[in-house]
This record gives sequence, C-alpha cells and structure tokens, in this order.
Amino acid sequence: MGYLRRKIVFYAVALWAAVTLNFAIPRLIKGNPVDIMLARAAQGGQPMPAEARHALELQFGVSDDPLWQQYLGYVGNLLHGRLGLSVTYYPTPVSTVIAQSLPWTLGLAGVALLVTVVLGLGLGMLAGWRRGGAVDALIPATTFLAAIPYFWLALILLYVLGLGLGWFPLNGGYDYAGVQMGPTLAFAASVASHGALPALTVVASSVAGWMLGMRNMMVSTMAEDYVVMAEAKGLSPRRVMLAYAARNAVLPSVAGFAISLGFVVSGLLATEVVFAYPGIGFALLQGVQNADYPLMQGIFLIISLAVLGANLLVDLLYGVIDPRTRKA
Amino acid sequence: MTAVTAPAVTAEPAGPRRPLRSGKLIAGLAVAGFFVLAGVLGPLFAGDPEEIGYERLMPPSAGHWLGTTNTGQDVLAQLLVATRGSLTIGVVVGVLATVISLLVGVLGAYLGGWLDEGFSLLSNVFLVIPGLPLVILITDYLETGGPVALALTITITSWAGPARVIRAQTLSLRGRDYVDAARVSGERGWRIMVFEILPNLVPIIAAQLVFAVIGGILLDAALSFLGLAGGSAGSWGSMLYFAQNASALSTGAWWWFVPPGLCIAVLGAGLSLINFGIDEIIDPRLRRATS
Amino acid sequence: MRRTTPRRLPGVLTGAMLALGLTAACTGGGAPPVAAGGGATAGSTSSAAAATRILDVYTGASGQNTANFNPFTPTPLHGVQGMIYEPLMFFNQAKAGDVQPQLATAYRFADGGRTLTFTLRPGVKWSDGRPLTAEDVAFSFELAKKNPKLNSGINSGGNVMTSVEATGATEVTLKFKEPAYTRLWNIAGQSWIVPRHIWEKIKDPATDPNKNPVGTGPFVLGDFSPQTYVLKKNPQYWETGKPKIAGMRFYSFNGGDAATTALAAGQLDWSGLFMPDIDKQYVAKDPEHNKYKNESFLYVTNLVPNLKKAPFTDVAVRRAVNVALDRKKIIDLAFAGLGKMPNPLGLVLPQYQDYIAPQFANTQLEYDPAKARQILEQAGYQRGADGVYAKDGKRLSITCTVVTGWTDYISTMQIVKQQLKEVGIEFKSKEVSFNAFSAAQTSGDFQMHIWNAWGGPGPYYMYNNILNSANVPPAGQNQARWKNDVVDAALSTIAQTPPEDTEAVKQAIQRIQEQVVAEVPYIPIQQSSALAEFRTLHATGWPSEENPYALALPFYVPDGAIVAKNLVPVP
Repeated sequence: MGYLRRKIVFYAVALWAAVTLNFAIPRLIKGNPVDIMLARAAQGGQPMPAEARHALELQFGVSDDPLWQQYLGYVGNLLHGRLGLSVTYYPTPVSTVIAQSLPWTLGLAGVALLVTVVLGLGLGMLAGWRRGGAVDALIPATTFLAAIPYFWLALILLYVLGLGLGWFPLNGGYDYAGVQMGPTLAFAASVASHGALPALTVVASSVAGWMLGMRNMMVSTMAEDYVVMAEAKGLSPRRVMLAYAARNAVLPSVAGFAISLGFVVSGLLATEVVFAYPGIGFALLQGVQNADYPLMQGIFLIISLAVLGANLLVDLLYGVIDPRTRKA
Repeated sequence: MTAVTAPAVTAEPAGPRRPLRSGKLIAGLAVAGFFVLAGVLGPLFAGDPEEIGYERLMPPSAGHWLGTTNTGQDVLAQLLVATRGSLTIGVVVGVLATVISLLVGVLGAYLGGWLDEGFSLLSNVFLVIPGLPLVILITDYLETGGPVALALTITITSWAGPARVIRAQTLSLRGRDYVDAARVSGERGWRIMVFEILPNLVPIIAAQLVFAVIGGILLDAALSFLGLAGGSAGSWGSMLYFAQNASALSTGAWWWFVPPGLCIAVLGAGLSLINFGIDEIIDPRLRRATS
Repeated sequence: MRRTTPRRLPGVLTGAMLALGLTAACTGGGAPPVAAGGGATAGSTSSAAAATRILDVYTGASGQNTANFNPFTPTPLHGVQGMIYEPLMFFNQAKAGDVQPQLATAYRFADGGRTLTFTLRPGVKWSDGRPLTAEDVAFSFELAKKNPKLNSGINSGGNVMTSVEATGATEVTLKFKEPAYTRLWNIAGQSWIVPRHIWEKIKDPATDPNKNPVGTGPFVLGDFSPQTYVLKKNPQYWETGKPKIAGMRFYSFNGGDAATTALAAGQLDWSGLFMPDIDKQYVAKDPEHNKYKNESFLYVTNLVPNLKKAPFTDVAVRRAVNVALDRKKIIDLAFAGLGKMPNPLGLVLPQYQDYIAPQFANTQLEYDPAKARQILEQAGYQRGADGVYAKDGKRLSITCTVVTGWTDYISTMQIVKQQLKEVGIEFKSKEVSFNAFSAAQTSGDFQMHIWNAWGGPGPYYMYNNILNSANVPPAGQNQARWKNDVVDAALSTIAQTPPEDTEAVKQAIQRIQEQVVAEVPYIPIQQSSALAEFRTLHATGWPSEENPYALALPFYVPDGAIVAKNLVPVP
C-alpha cells in the first residue's frame, strides 16, 4: 500500500473507532442520569416527590430504542454537529460546555507542551553532545521528576509555592473577582500568572522523557558518517551540533509530539482538578460522575479528534521533512 | 506518560552478550527489589491497615513509624498494603501489555502482509485514542472488579506503544544475515521467531516491560486519586485520595500525603534506572564517557 | 477530588433540586437580625466602599457555570432559586415551627384541606418594574401543571391539584382532589413564582435557559462568565432597606480541597464546606473573623437493611446489629466527632423533641455486644467454629454497599466490621461507583447500604420519606422497602389532619415511633453535621444559635437568599 493510501485508511479507521467507542462505552456504564439525580437530591438535602422521576425521564429522554437505531441517530447527529444537551448542565448544549472549557485546556496544554519540548530537546541535545557533562548529569534527577504523578507534584507545589510562599495564585483560570474577561493586558497577565503553576507542574514531570529521547538520538546520530565527516571538515562544533546532529536526531521527537498531546490532555485532567482550572478535563470528570452520556461523548470525541488532527498535521509535515518515511 | 518518546527505537541488536555491569542497572534493580520485598513481605508484618483508633493524625513516632491517618490508622501498614496493590497492578499491566505487544509486534513484523497492516493500524488507532478518558469510562463500568480488572483496563490502553517499538526492531532483525541463514537452512517460521529473533529482542522487551509497569502504576494513581478506580482500594493512589479527602496537606499531615507519592516516584525512578542500564547494554554508545 | 462536600452538602448538581426542598411546620416568629449600623445610607468613604463590596460565596458548585437562570430546570445556577425568584412563604428549618411570609402574607385551608388560598403581598414589583399580580402566581403553578417535564411534584402540588385561579387582585386559590395539608411546604415554600408577561412567551419552559431573568427577589443578575457570576442588589426589592450588601459573587471549585484552601486564604466570605478539622484549617487562620455554625439536625445517616432480603427479613438480626454498634466511636473516628448521637426513633433532635412519645422520652440507643449475642441466640442462631453465628446452615454474613471514595462512610464500614465481628456477625463492605449505587437503590439489588435520610419542616416528612410503603423505590426513599400497616395508616391520618390540630398529629407520630422501635427498619449511625463557614470581616448578621432565622448553609434554598438579604456590610 502506498504511503498516502495507508494514511487515509488509518485516519478513517481511527475516526470510526473513536466515534463508535464513544457510542458504546457510555451505554455500558451502569446507572442512568435520572437515578443519579434523584439519589443526589435524596442524599444532599431533599428527596423528590414520586412525580419527579417521570418529569426527569421526560426531560432527559431516556431512550428504549434498539441500539442500532440509537447508533444511526447518534452518527446522524454528529454529522450535523449536534452533540445533544448536557445532563449535568441541563439544558445547556454539550457544544457550549465544550466551547467554554476547551480553550483553557488547549492553552494550558499547548504552552506547557511547547515549553516542555523546547526545554527537553534543548537539554537533550546538550546532554548528548557533551556526554558525561554537566547537563548529562541532570538525567537521573529528571527521571525522578518524571516518575512523580502530575497531581501529587501539583499539590505539593500548590502548598509550598502557592499557599506557603504566596508566589502563585491558588486556583482558577484568572482573577475572577478583579479582572473582566476580554482582550485586555490585565486579563492576559492574570491568565498567565494563574496558568504558570499548572504549566510548571506539567513541564517538570514530563520534560525528562523528551530530554532522554533526544539525548539518545543525539548519541546515535553523532556516530553517523555525515556527522563524523562534518567534524572532520573542521566545521564549528556549534554548527555540527545544530545543523548536522540535532537536526536529524530531532525527527522521532516530532512524531512523538502529536502522540504526547493525548497524554498531556490525560495528565491535565488531574492537574485541572487540583488547581480548579476551568478546563475540559474536569468537565469530563463531571460527566462521568453524573452519567452525563452526551457530555462524556462530546468531550471524548473532541479529545480524539484533536489528537487525530495533530497526528495528521505531523504526518503531513513529516512527509515533507523526511522523504524516507514515504517509502517505509 | 513518557513511554512513547523515551524508548530507544534505534537501538542496535544486542550482539555478543556482555556481563551486566551497569551501575544504573544495579541501583535500579536494588530499588525495585526493595519495593517487591516490601510489597510481598511487608503486609505480613504490618498490623491491620484498617484498624481504627483514637490516636488520630499523629506524627511519626516509635509506635507508628509513619504516623497515623485521620481515623487513627497506621500509615506504614497502609503503605505496605498499598505497595502490594500498586505493584500488582503494575506487574499485571506490564506483563499483559508486553505479551500483547510481543504477539502483535513480532507476528506482524515477521509475517508481514495484511496481518502486519492490520496490526499496525490497530496499534496506531489505540495510540491516538486518549487513554485516561477511555480508562475512566471502562472502570466505571467494571466497578466491582478490583485491582486485576483495573489492571486489565489499563492494559487496553498501554500495549500499543510497545507493539510499535517491537515491530520496528523485529523488522530490522528479520533482515539480518543469521535470520536469513536460518531460513535458508529450512528452519520453521515459529522456530526462527522463538529461537533466533526473540532472544535478540530481550533487552527491548525488558525495557518495554519496565515502561509498562511504570505507566500502569502512574495511571492507577491518577485514577484512584480522582476517585475513579472503581472500588479498588489499596494502592498508593487510593491512599493519596483518602489523604486528600481528609485535607492531609492543609492540616499539616505530610506523613500521610508524602510517602505514597514518594514511593511512586522512587520506584518509578528505580525502574527508569533499570531501563538506562538496559539501553546502555543494548547500545554501548549511550554510556556516559565517564562511567 | 473530594467527595465529602458535594455529597453531604449538595454540591455538584443538586442545587436546583434542593431548591425544591425545605422545611417548616406551623407558624411562629424567628426574627431576622436587626440591622446594626446603617449600611446603605452611610456617608463616610469606608462605608461607601463597604456598601459596594461584593461578597464572595462558594455554594459547592464545581466545574464551569453555564448560563441557566430557569428556576424550573433541575440544575439552575445557585442563587436563581431564592435570590432571583422567590417562593410564597419561607419555612425555616433551623427553628421548628417557624414560617415567614414572603410573596404571600397569609394562607388558609378550607374544605377539609382541599382548598388553599394565599393572600399576596401588595406592592411587590418584578425587576423590570411591572407589578406582581395574582395572575402571575396562578400562571406559575399552572405552568408546571400543564407541562409534564416541569412537574416535579413540588411546584404542581403533585398530581392532586385540580385547579389554580386568581380569585382576587391579591388572592390565589388552589383546589385539590385530596387534603393538601402536608403539601403546603412544597407549594408555598419550594415553588418559584415567575412573571407571566415573560414566561407566556417562552416556547419551551423546560429547556429555555432564561438568560435575562426577571424576578421579585432581593438580587438581580449582575455579570456572568463561565467561571464566576455576580448577583447584585435589587434596588426595587419589596422588603424596605434590604438587601444591604451590594451583591454576591459565586465561585466554583473543582474539589473541596481547592475550596478549603481558598476559604483558609481569606478568599471567601461564605461557604458550606465539610472540613475534618475546622478549627485548625479555618478558624485558626483568623480567629476574630472566621466563624462557623454546625447545622446538626438536618439528616440521619443510616445503615439501610434491605428488608426484602435475607438475613434482614429477620427482625432479630436488625435488632442485634442495632445494639452491637458503638456509635460514639464511629462518630468520633469516622465523622471527625462532628456528628451528633442519633436516637432510636429516627427523628432529628432536639428539633422535634415535642413529638416524642412519653414512653420513649429517655430511650437511648444501646451499645451492648452481650445483648446482641443473646438476641441472636434467642432467635435460634448458633455460633459456628469460625466465630460467626449461623442458622439453618447459613452463616450470618452481611454485605454492605458504599459509594467508592466516600471516605467517612468507608471508615464507618471499617469500624462496623470490627464491632460486628466481636458479636459474631461477618460484615463485608463493597465499594461501587455512585452510578452503580444509585441504580441498585432503584432496583433493590443490595443487601444493605449506608445512606442519609432527610426530613423537612416537621417530623412527618422524614417518616413519610423513608417509612411510607408508597415511597418504596422507584417512587421514593423508603430504601429499606418496609411495609407496615400501622405506619401507613398513621401517615395517611396526618396527611388528612389540619396542622393546627397538633395533638392529633402528635398521636399519629407516636404510633409510628412504637413500630420503629419494635421493628428497627433502619439502623441509625449518626445525626448530621452540616458546617456553614462565614467570615465577619466584610459582613455581619449571620444566623447564630441565639437567632437561627434561617439555615446558614449557602446552598440551601431559599435559606441562602434569606441570609443574603439580611446581611449587613461592615463599614
């Protein structure tokens, strides 16, 4: 199969799998939103009268249609961009819930990933270039960081740097009371200061992987003939490092970038909970806790699409920068 | 979450066996061994981790080496039981993910053709479908399954990365002279796979196993911390969940909150050290000039 | 994340449903606090600042806010019910028998409880300037009656309301198929009055988010964003001089711990968070201003045996478990010592002390392991070699379901396990997700579980919720699935007795108590603790033990609104 055809099949299957899994999984979960709402009401303050069950069933449209009909309806709705009404935030459409939270997660994940990658690749390059040097000696320390769960590190940092030293705000996406959301400098600054600690957490716990991968690739690349040749020609070490060794060593990391997007989003879920960050991870958690099928499905679909999209982008880029892949 | 970027995809085959003399490997094995011992033997010596008493939120003392929880339970006893729980999940995930990835990777690469296309497609799809949300959805369904069910679920999302690495390595081995030689001499396919290719994959398999173990432990920790591990109490993550629920940090009970996280980090670092050691054995160039 | 808060205190999504729930009894007089100092009219700069200060409140909301100001939906934003839309009367659950007029100044029953007439307060204006009319009130009830999606059984008076009419400029009359005495709380205290001139134009009142809410309440919508929103003072509010504070900003956190941290850091003025060590975590940070109130009479946490399943079909087992528990230890250890000792009658005390039958005046729950064993042996159980009692070859083993991650309940399970083991009963706990738990509650697929029972503004409500055989799930909260003819008859008697006839109501309640004590349909563990934290730095006038004019819990409706409109800014 040709490179292009294989890629097209891959994306088609991946898309179908994501959509179908998305349909199937919530239907396997026990419980339904009506039971949950009534139970929460009963546990939390005031049991509802018997009539309430009927009203809720009507509102949430608990369906008894055969599965294949539900599936067709679901796919049809997706094609029209309809994700349904959220149960948790009834009667708000799922698309609104996602639109309100996705930018926060994308922003945080984007910045954190970018910093991680630049830092990781840079340090990895230096470590590989000067094996046994000062930077290389950092490697074991960063692996320790990498093995720390995101959320645990987040909490410790929150208590030490936030609550203890007061360097960072404790929670939220920006200063809700003091700043209005809008295209102002004050808002941007507030967002940046609130995002700093969550981003720092992500960077600290994920930089090691990039660093190590880059270092090892660097080491391998530097044994290649063309690098040896470049050195022999007497090119400046800086030029050899950047233009010859690093440029080729970085290739596998580019592919890793897209895939790690999915991991970062997953990792952010717990981090968002710790920092009360208004992102999509927490919305998903609420969806699960409230048997909010439409919301779960919508968010899962969006995450899958985002990761698929990023992969597609990287694939296209990769085909351009490294012709060898097209033959593989 | 680093499993995808870190594996040494380009590693050379092991070639002639070298004695295992890496300091990193030894240190890593020591750390891992320590936790295994603690997990296997610890619960036998520790008291009942559920035993509740009036000595609440006591800092570490001679009676309670790691202090007590808000219900007067002994943190050390809980930690030891949790060690067993987390290790169980890690090992089950590690072994299962490795076995699956081995089947998918080696079979696909060796046999090639539509099987390989299919397997590659499958593993690529699993790679791009985000793991944590998927696991959350599934564990919610399997609520009564306990740690093993949880491990199975985590496995679903963690075999694909290793499968890709193993496939790549098998592809490169398949073209080697000694494999060709075996084939020409009439050896059967499965024999070639088991006796010629597999032994040369051992370092890579070991590395993937270690990664999968770390991944499993971390994912369980995240799930348990979010309260989504479906009733499988008794891992480091669920300890953290209980500690967080009782505001252990804001009430100053660091001895309850810090040890489980530290255990995860230290074990993770130890396992990573093992991997460094393995990488260096696979590819001597990765060794530091000074070591 | 931390589940304690949203569960005990209805955080995540129960705001609205709660909104539907409150208390009351007869008629009494809890006076709102007298304004100290003149907040609104003061002239000095500092008090001008105080008058414009927006208070920061956390009602247990988590995640983002979505603009939903429709009081009839299950989950409108906190504050919509009570602060923007008001009920006819306020039933103060913090003080037995205290009912305060709101939009209605009086009610009267006629025709044996089948006719209910409200007299409306004159001069009330909607926030768009139009006057509140009797048609508006009739329309609000009619809306729920006509639209099955909105018919929660509260705002419609159940399915027994036959008509509702404006019978005068300030008079509305509701008619019922059967006596509606016990429905007064829902109808007058939990049904939200909306303006007809706006709502008659809304196409689907069940799903419309009502983005520009127009209500009669003390507050109106200020600004809104998905992260936070402000309800600001309604200058046209009917109660002269109120509210004195400029408004309230509502926050949302992703977990109780983030909220606790914010509260400790002085970021919040008011919250209803459960904290295991409130003195250390909160009060100690600013002892002068950080105050709290423990509303400890709202619910009872029970071990709920499923009476349809062995071994709980045998009353001896229930009685044995009931005396085998050391509740003091459970409360001290699992509930941080904040819960109160429950009683064998299943009533919240001291609220309903007056309703206790004379023969039970001094009855306490016993802790007597020897007696537990004796009860079992008398019922024919024999202790096996493994130390566990058995009868007819079946070991006495109980599996109790608990929601995963609900830590105080899980601790309870661990203590109960030890205590029951001592008397020879095997006790296992099974943790399941809330989804699975709630599904099992409805289907009855459990042997025992741990759950709260809530009451209302009178002893009738708790008994009716959990003991009436008509309320066996899926209809209601009789989770034990108990059916007792004496109890059913007594509850029916109360429903047909005018509340003024307190003696008849009491006698019926006492007949129920005899059955409860003899049959032990539920095994009480603790009487609630619901903490309300408020800071006196920016505002005073919070409810107190001396003046419990409303529950101090910000998420409780309409109590939260009653408190908010009575607060006085600190100059």
